[in-house]
Amino acid sequence: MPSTPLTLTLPQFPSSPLHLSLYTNVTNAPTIRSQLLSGNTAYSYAFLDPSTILSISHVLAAVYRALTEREAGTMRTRTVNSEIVFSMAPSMNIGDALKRFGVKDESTALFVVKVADEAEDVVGAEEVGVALESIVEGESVALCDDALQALTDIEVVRKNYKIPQGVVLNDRIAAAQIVTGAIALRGYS
Amino acid sequence: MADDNKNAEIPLPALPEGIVKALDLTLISQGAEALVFFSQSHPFIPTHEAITNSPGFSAGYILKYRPPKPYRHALLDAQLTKHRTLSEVRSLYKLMLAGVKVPVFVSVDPRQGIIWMENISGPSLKKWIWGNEEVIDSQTEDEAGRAKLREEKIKGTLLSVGSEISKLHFMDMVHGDLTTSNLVLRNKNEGEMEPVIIDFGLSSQSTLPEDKAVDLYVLERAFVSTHPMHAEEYIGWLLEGYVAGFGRGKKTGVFKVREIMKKLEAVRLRGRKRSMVG
Ligand SMILES: Nc1ncnc2c1ncn2[C@@H]1O[C@H](COP(=O)(O)OP(=O)(O)O)[C@@H](O)[C@H]1O
Ligand SMILES: [Mg+2]
Repeated sequence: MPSTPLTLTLPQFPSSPLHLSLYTNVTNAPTIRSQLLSGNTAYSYAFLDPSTILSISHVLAAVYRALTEREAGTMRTRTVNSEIVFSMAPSMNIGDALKRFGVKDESTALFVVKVADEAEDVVGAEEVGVALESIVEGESVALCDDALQALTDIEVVRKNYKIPQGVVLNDRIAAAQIVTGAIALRGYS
Repeated sequence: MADDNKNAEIPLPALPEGIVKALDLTLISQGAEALVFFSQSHPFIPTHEAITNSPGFSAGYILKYRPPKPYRHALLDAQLTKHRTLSEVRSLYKLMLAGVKVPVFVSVDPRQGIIWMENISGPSLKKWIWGNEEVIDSQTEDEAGRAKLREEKIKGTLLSVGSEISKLHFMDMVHGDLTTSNLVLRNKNEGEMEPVIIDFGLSSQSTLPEDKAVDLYVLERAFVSTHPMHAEEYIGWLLEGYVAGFGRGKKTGVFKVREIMKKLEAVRLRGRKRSMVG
């Protein structure tokens, strides 16, 4: 039976519920990437590499930024999905952001975000679970910060956000303040 | 009826409807430039058992909103709002990274003039001193006794306020509006108050000792107007903490603070001359 994603709603975007899923032991990352590149509309999700993610709130900061830009009509990329991946980054270089934070050929785990706008074909949490089962070859894991924490590569996070060695990242909450600040400030500093 | 939505009564010139609808906001300050609201919930992190590593704050959140000013030219107004909003968040972020005590910045929308940050729960330095003075005055009639109590109750906090300001200036950041209201005291443990600096809309980067001296002078004037009786004593303690704070930066710090204190003398003199001319 396919597992059901975690559904969260951001208070300011009540008509865009988010379905969040986590997969480990993923074996078909290259296929997913090539389907995304060819614009297959069945792949209308943001596929993130969990090694770059500190916590669920880290991703929510990027989703919040992406939805805010969409509302203002100022997205820099074509879809809300690519905008979410781009919004993970602290810099304005879109190509670099997609490469760093998105699914890579070598990815063996995936954090998948579905923005379930009404206009989308697949919107219910269960539907999303079913659809993803046929897209991702891997093991579905119940999403929570503990599960996510095990997949983070702290040194990758440090490099992505250019956090000096002097700043210790053992404390996830302090680290999250640094990265969410960087996400909010992208393009403004 | 009026209680259905308490936000309905507040004049909210253009606070985005999405925010007003989604969050329970309480107006706590209406200044010349900004409206400040309190919200118990985070602007975008919902409460959920799966979320355990959230950078959340139990004391809640502050939304600082700079509404459009109808009397200003629309384009200039938008630019000014964006500029102030961004200087404030850039400074907050930089200072947080440097370990200076400021509210943690959560989110920003410069086009709308919106900043989300951590709520600092505690009195302003101004109110805290007033509270202490009241207690001291009720304890004894005798001025010598009162002076002793002031030293016991107030000095330590002012030393630490001075020390916190020194960290700001040591990294060549100037506040631009240092007053006894823009210094907030967070209750740490048993009577120990931790100073937190707020309101960075006029802050800037400067290597000039003169700019730091002006920051200190503005603060001195604030003390004189909010605590006229003991302003000199309070400023003395605060500057003692300030100079000591620079001392921790070793030689460069000692040199830097000497220059600043020299400039402060000059700025004071200018201020006195100006007030004599009237
Ligand atoms: N982070 C915060 N935590 C607690 N109170 C705050 C915070 N930010 C602002 N306030 C309150 O709102 C008031 C006005 O905010 P401030 O940033 O100083 O703007 P203004 O430019 O109007 O002075 C402050 O004096 C303080 O009482
Ligand atoms: Mg103020």
